[in-house]
Amino acid sequence: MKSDLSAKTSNLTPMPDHESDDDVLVDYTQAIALRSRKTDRLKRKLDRKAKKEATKPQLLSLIPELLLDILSQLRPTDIIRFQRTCKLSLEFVRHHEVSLAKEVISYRYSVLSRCFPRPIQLKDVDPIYHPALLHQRRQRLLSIHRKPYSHVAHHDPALVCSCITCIMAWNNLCLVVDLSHWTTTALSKRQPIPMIPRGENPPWNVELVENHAAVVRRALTSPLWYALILQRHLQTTIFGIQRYATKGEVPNFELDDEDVHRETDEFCARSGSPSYEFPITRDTYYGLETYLPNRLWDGREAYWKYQPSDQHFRDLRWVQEMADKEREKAVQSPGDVEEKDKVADDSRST
Amino acid sequence: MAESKPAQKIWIRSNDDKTFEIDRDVGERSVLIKNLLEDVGDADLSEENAIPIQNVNETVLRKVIEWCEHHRNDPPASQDEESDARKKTTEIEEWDQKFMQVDQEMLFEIILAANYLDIKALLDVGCKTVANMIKGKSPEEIRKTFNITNDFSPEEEEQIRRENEWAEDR
Repeated sequence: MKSDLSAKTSNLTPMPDHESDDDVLVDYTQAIALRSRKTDRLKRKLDRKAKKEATKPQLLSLIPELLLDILSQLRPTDIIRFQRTCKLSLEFVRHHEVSLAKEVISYRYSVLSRCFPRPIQLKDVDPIYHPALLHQRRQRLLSIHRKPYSHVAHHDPALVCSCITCIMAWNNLCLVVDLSHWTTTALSKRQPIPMIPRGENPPWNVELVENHAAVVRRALTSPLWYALILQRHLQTTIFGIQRYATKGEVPNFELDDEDVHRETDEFCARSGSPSYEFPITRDTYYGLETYLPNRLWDGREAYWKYQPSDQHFRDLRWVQEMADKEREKAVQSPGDVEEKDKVADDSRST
Repeated sequence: MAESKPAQKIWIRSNDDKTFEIDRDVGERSVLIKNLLEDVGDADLSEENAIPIQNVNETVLRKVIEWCEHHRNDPPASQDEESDARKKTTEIEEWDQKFMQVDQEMLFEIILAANYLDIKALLDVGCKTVANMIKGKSPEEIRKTFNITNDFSPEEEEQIRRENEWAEDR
């Protein structure tokens, strides 16, 4: 017993010799480890319990295929919220994002994904087309997509392909984000959308449009965020149809409670009127029932004809052909082309 | 050679040595058991020579058999992936909803057993049940439901929240 005590006390730091009443009293004693049969038994019991708990199947211990099966049943908002729970779920969703988003889009938004394709990023376009796409003359021609819209951000030619299909895809995605914003903040509350006088662009609008462009930019690299935009547009579309029906008018599509509850765009595949006219101002949001561009109803065959999936490549070839023709012209009569460019530059600056 | 008449009863054994006598069509809801039956042949089937179900214990196997008995007359799953995908919703029929009212440990055991036994429809019901437990919940509620530890620092959590603000329900 004595040797035990001396062993314990030998670990203690010796008290200084010059100790006085004014020194701060510091407690140097160490906790004595608890040791008894009872605590040993308790510890063993806790260990067994922890071991048993560890072998119990849990959500995050499921094999990836099963966890993917579960997550693919969810809406994009739910998947995004799930990934915020812990580092493992964040990593899991990030790692499987492409296949997960593909699965969600294929059964929830198969119609909307064809109406609203994602624009291609310039870095993913064959570099042989870059000079033609980025040529000053082409960018000048595209100014028609810049000037009239105060609700849609102009596409960045260094980021997004400048073929017509991609520009329209960019504009459409920006538009549905804007439409979703005003549907939830104004239309659903029967409040007016603030109007912007012609030729003005107040700071709140600059910020709002930029925020919406940031969402679309994120969707360019994140398929889950692209699916999220489609989810929002499905909500907007359902709201538009229901609002139309409450006015006593015949809606574009049949829509019942089951369709709404299902939260898929299956009802948009039914016959209905095409709605491809781009809402060029926010004024048009009031009367807009649905906006599902890039498709036409074929009455004879009774099905929706969608824009061909290779339209982007066709456009690229056309841009290249036009650039080649311009180059040939420039070689044959350089003065004409320079003059045209000068006139165009002047008109642009005015 | 005369074709042998298929046995009406089959025997399966859980990993804790409990043998179950079940109808053949009930057992054949599992693709694994169906394939094993074809390989083994009817002549070799007996109570003593029961099909071993390695990864499933008695309690879970009993539950799985209950599900297979209820769904014994269901049409086989469609091979058409496209139409299959379009039918996919988080809707679960009433009987299955009640069947799945079990504790979380059992729910995940059923999912694992359905995956091992290759019973696609049961696996779907299990996954949909878990999906419905996640649906519409905040990250904190999901953590609470599934006993997930939040290992983000407050700064990380805030950053992720801000990055995903647009994804919040409206």
